[in-house]
Amino acid sequence: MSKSEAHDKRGRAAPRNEPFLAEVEAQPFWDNLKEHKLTVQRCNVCGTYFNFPPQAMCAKCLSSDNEWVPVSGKGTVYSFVTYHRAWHPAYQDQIPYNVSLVDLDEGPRLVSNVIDIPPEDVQVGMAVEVVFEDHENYTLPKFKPSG
Amino acid sequence: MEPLHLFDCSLESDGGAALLVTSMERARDLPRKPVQVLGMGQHHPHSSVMDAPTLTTLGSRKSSEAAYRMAGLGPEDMDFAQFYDCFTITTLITIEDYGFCGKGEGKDFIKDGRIEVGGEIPVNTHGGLLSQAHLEGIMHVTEGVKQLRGDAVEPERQVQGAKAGVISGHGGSLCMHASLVLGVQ
Repeated sequence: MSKSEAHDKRGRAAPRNEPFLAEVEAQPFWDNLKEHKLTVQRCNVCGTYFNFPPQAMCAKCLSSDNEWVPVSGKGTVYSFVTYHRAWHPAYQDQIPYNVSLVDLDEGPRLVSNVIDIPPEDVQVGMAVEVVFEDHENYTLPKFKPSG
Repeated sequence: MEPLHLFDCSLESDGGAALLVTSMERARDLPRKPVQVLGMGQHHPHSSVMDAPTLTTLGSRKSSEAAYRMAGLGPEDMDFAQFYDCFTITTLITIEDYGFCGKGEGKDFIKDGRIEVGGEIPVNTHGGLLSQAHLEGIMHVTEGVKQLRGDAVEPERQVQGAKAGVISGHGGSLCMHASLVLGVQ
């Protein structure tokens, strides 16, 4: 059985552990990632960077005029958890793994994974930078300690 | 999911509870002792948890300030608190935001029986979402009413001489908060 056909304990077909790529507003985000560019939405009227998930309008000035702009990919860990259970069969070989809230230097906060170090070594306030994890149909932005 | 363990998480449950809300004029003629709404507040600081500037001060701060202001009372006047406790961390943040201790002091404040019945400020005398049932918080309100009636819970659970208490409701993945100050004359 391939990972995409995995079933949970009740025999229901489990969703694939792939990003939901059909979301129109998020399309530029995924397209840019394939080119190894991390981009966020920025309001063309007031300059505010949008938080995730992608939004149709600016939460500050309510303008719907915005564009995807590249960011440095540098940030700090705001908070994190460690998963000791695989809530989806596809994550079984990855536990224990880290899930972090990463505050980008430009402001927006991303949910991602800090990789390359054991989960117990991740710290609040740790400086991190983006790394791109390529898959067959998509690329994920993950983070590793800076330097 | 570290740092939360099994017993740090409440279990959403099926069940029901109801409150009868009416004027004090009518309530005085009913057979049971009426409990008054002294103050209420709400604050919904953002629409998505990803827009929250901080995860350590929530809508609970401004919501509780509004409820205390309306009641003309403060945390020092509360005889108990029934706090929405979906996870243990929520209770700590709420205790801090409602003014019972400073930010970051919650973990030490709750030690040595301070939030038990008979302590300085009993919290969740019915067990809360964590130890009774997660019915979206309605049982925090019914427990507050029962405590203030003074004749509705087991003696070991009763906060002796309770005249006022504060109740929190929380939802929308940390985005929404409501507060209630109840009291009896």
